[in-house]
Amino acid sequence: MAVLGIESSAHTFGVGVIENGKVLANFKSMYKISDKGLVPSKVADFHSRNGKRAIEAALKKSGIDISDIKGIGYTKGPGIGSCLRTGQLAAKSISLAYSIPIFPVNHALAHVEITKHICGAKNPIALYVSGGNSQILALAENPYKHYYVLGETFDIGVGNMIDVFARAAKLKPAWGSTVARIAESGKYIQMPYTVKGMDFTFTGLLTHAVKQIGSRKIEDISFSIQETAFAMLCEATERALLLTRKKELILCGGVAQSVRLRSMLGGMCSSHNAKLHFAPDEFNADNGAMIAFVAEKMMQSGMRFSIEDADTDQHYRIDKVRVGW
Amino acid sequence: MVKTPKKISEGAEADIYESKLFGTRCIIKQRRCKSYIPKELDESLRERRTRTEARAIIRAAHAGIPVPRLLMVGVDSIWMGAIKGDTFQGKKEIPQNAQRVFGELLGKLHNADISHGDFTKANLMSDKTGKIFVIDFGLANITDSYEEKALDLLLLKRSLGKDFGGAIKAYKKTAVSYIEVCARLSEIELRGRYQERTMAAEKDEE
Repeated sequence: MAVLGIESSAHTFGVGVIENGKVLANFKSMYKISDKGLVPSKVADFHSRNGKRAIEAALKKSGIDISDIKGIGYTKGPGIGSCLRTGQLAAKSISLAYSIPIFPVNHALAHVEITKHICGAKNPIALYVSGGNSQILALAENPYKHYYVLGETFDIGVGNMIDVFARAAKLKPAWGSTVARIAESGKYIQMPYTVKGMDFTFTGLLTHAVKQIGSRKIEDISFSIQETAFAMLCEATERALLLTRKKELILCGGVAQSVRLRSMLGGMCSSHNAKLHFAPDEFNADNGAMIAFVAEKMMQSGMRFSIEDADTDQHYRIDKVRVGW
Repeated sequence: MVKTPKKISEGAEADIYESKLFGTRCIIKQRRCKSYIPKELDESLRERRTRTEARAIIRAAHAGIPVPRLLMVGVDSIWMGAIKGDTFQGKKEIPQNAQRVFGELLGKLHNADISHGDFTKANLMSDKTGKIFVIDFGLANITDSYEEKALDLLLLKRSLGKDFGGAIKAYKKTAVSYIEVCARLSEIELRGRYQERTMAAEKDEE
């Protein structure tokens, strides 16, 4: 009962194969980011050229023939419209050609669910941090089972903030790890810090940091923007942890690869006897396995979608998704 | 003179202790040191927030709003008189007269240019006589910004749900700048990230 999953919300065209929750393949084809960042049309073009090869590579790795695939999932959103549509088109074609059910998957939900599965977390809250998103989530039962957004960014995602700062400072991609490396020898300078309960904003911090470029050492600005942003995430998450009285936190999304963020959250969790979980990096970065994983869950819980319902939605919020398992 | 403090609860940024000072029960709010964030940031946050909190409590008391009595302020700790009573957290229904008092209290806070920052039923407390107190000024700000005031109103709305009706009615009677604040509230409600803009669409049709 293998399920194929296609992820194409941003610069990664990822294809994963899952069988009963076991990852058989997790192949990625990545658009190389230039100094200009992501140009949607170019990334979509890259995906449509390389998609077929990525699907073949994942199937080969899994050792499963395409005729034995029982379901196909793809990222419905949130993400870049033109990129989402390349994955959607590939999934629709496979669904029609092999007469297998198709599953539109929420990208954020996929990050949370695969991390929860791999780490064996029972009843966690989740901090989902990536380029475009930064949310604190918990499962809620009413009016139906779904992920409730306890807190989130009011403006931009934390990853995007660091990327924009790094581009302004003319640093080389991949920006997140470049800023983290430069920050290692930095000292703290005061930065704007904005947390409203469990919500937060990053644009004030970004503007201030960008204005410091040239007058302060780049090491110090990098250190301070990163520490301030992560401290804000820590505080909001800490409040959510205490409010929900849960004892587990899962960290997921692209920024979950940050060693510094993990260590800060680890410190916060241990001060409340809570446990921090995070998955290996291949699942924190965008990947197809997580999409296949959720598609399999959807299939096993009896959900079905017509080919007309297999649409994309750039603004597909996680709290709109019914969790049927 | 001072009894050894006993920890009674843990908040996101502070620990709450109970103790006795000169024979009266008191509550100590101690902002916790967070070793996992840079020391400079941790210290400045704790100092600044403690100072603002103390200022907001005094200002609210001067405006005639029932708040905990401020006894002593340290660099990162506040000593307050204890209030015997319960918060409205967990109460399924809020009686009409309490709804009205919530609205009046928020209106008075805003007239004194205080935004509370966490004005929910968890931070409204009623004593034995039924007098309602506003507690926890930990996220308060002294400001005349309509935005911050509207955020208070939004938090109260979310916290009260269907019981918000009596509160907003009383707020409109009390708050001097209620027109501006309510206008900002509708604006904020449409602002959420990726939210469905149904309310805006309805307005367009009018």
